[in-house]
Amino acid sequence: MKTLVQGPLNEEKINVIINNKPDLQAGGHCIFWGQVRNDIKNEQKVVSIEYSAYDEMVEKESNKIKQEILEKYNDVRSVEIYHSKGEVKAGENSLYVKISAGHRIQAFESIQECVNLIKKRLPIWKKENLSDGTYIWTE
Amino acid sequence: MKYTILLFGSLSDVCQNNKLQINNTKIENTNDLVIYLETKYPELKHKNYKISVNQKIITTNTNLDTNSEIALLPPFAGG
Repeated sequence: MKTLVQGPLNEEKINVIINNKPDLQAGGHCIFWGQVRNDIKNEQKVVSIEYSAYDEMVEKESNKIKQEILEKYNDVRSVEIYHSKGEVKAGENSLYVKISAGHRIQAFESIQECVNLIKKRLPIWKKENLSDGTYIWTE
Repeated sequence: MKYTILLFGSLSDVCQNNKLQINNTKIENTNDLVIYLETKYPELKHKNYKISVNQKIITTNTNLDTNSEIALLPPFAGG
């Protein structure tokens, strides 16, 4: 499954794309949702974020991250990563990560590491659209 | 040689394009390319960015050929 998904990631969309095959050996699932905040920038509200990406590199790097997590945490059974591309409004979700493990400890530990790696290594950029019609690139 | 350079994030604003086509026989490596681009787009000198060649971020001067997929990558901001 590809990491990049057009538009916001709501539960309905995620339920369609995630692997719904039950894993009866998984004792815990950790899920992280990233949501667009309505921060104030230049005295204006952030109304949405426009995500752009180096698509091919995102898919390669995302697969590497999944593999690294599976290799490092021997109790982790699956890693799923989805990230929005295009416009996502404040209050909508732009990132979904799900890690399933045999037991809770590695599920908790690995999801934090996984999200950190996503932020550090996936070539994705965001343009914050402000309420006055201007925008700011986040760098 | 003829090169295609992909531009992302704020760099697409700086160069007013998300893709540049360059035909220049003097550019043989990434150092030559940076000098060329920063001369043509002086604002790039003030930007923080990395270069990838064939989807791998390079840290040393790298030879280029016409098949190289070159991209300028400002700091990532996913999540």
